[in-house]
Amino acid sequence: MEITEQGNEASKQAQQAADSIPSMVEAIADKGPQTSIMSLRDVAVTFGSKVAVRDVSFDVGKNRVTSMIGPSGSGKTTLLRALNRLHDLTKGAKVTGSITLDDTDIYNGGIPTTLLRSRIGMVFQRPNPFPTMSIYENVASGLRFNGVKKKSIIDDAVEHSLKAAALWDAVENRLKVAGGTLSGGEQQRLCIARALAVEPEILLMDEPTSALDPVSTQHIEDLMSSLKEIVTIIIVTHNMQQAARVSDDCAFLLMGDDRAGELIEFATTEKIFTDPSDKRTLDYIQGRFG
Amino acid sequence: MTVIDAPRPTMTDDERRALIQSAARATYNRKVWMSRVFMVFLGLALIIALIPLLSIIRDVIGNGWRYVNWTFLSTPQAAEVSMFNQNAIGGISNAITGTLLIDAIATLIAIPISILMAISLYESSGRIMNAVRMYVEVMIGLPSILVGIFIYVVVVTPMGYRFTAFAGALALAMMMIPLMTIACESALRAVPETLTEAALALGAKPSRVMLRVVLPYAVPRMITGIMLSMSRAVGETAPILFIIGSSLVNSWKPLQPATSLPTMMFNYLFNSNYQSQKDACWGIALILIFAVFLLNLASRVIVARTQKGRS
Repeated sequence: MEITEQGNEASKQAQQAADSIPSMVEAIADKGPQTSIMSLRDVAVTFGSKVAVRDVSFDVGKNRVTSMIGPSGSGKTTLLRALNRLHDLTKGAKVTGSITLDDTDIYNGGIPTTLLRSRIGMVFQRPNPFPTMSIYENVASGLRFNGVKKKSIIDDAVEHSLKAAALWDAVENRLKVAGGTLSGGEQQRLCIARALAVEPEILLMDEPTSALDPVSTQHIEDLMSSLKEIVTIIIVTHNMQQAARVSDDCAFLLMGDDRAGELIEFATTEKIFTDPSDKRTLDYIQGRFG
Repeated sequence: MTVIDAPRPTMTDDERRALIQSAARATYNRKVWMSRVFMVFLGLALIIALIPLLSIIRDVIGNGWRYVNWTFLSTPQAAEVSMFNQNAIGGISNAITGTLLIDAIATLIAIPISILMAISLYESSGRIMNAVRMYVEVMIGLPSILVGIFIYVVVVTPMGYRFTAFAGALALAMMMIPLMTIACESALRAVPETLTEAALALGAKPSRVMLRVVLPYAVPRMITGIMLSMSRAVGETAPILFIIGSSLVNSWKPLQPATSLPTMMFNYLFNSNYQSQKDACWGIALILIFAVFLLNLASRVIVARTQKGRS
């Protein structure tokens, strides 16, 4: 009973926070990133001799949503996966240039990869809750991976993250049930809660709604605008309208003549969608290709 | 401007459509007919494949059924068969004991080694590990008699020509390990990569990814592989025939000789003067087939149970 009240209270607060967002967005619009949390300089990703994406430089604003848009093959996802060193797993993959998190180079700055990844969470294209774990264990998994053992801390984090992911009310009474029993949209929110539980500074989202129906997509988009108060979001999306709706800043990538993706333009989302500097950006957002 | 001097079409659109549709109908009819012919062939092939199998099972059940009783299962074989009462051959409990003992030890040896090998094959991809994988795959096809000879030379001989259940277990473990390793590795490979990535993205060390995410997901398939390897080993005769000796009593001691169901069958068939012992082989065969069937069934049940709730 008490927990329910707390839950209602929290969701009310979340609602209020969400209500106040449009005005906040207006207040900060156009000014661009105030403080940057991550900087990319001349970043390129190559697989063997094939360049997948190159010449990418931009700053990611703290507590903002940065979207990466562009047609298939422009290297959006490849670039995103470079930001938490997921390419380390791929044989022959190489990331050059510099990517810094709080002024520390994530590849050469001496941050252990596991520590880096606990600071940069990720949500994948398809919901991928751990099928062998319950809802509770899914959310707790990141903490357990990182050696947190105290049950009270984990309990708190599970509740807090599920609330932040707007899933608490739906699963409160079945935390011991397998995560795979939820609907697709709920599974994706479970994955968001799982990523949030580790309290990351940045959340990478790789086309998080491409496998979801419109209603679930709407849920996730609403969620993002409230989440950016606690975490910086970088999202890859195929969907230009989505980028326009949810992001503050926008990076437009395009496949060059050599079939390598490159950054065409980076600016506030408003500028990209109303007054882009590059003709190719204009052509893309007007739907002339891609 | 016309570059290609193509003949003008002589048909109207309707005529062409009629022509295409009648061609499609003819093709369809031909395919239906071919399909029937192939179904008949497939049915015949199935029958040819099933005839020997079913006739074996029919004979084994028909001749072996009368041996399935508690006395036969729970009494050791008679130490000596009297000339005057050749039907008093006792039972097979000494062989059941021996089979359980040998297979249990073999499985206990094989499981940890196989799982560790599977994990190392899964985790590393260098040239050396590829060579190891090829070696393991070749080992699957190793003639079992060679395994028996190998254990005879490296275990039985140095121990002063002592026949032991343990030596038999080593031989069976050698037979099991390659099968189990490959089965466990493919169970690991069947774990979706997206789960591994999700765990890594949460900051998990590779060892934790393996223990908390990959292994739990792979366990049901691994159990299947392990049980299928066991069912292969239960019926093996050649590798243990001349290294476990024989025991006329129910012996649970690994360092003593033992009798297993297949070796008992072999001795009854080829070294016995009594028809009653030869006949009892039907009973032993039935028990063996039943054991293998149970192992297969159990592995299926385990998989079906754990697959529930997984998307």
